[in-house]
Amino acid sequence: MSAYKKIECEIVDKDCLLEALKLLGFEPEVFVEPKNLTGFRGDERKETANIIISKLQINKFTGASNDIGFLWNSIEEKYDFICSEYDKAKKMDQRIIQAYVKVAIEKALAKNGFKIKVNVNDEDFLKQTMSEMEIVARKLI
Amino acid sequence: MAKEVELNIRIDKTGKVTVEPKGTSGKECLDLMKFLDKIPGFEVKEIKPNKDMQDEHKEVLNQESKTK
Repeated sequence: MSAYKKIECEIVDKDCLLEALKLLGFEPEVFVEPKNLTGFRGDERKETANIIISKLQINKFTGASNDIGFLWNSIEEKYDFICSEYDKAKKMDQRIIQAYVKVAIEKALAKNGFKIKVNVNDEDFLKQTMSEMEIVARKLI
Repeated sequence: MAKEVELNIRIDKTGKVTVEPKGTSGKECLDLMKFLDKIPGFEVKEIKPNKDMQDEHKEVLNQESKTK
């Protein structure tokens, strides 16, 4: 053992994002041209996104959600995460980031020759209560 | 001879990641974890040496002072 790293992440990879959303049981719609989001009352919001999770799908975690969206920001080359205050209070943004990080790390580990010994149980992502997750990976050097 | 190294990766509730290696130390350890810096969108916020690494650093400093 020698050192540890603390890492934070931005959502930049569409495939990882879609895989992460699938882990959470979502079936998002993907648009080339951004579409308007829908609010919890069914009202059209001014915010637009390329990838949209409908409020009905999010309600299983929350109760009265708005759509959540991801708008591709071509200048910063990352997705802008559009999430209402209500859904942030319900920690939906953190849920999605946690799943995204898991998918991105798994891919990087495999690409770098690591074998995963202990992994997160995918069903944990569907639980109402969030928890810290752990991956243990091994490699021969 | 090949040896086995391990990475313990914890993803907290906010999506922040802490990676702790086992079975390696010093430069080898830092090299082993370099791929994490290259994951698109990931930003390393902190690298913290543990006791083993601090001891190794001291040892290097001691060797340098002996050669002077």
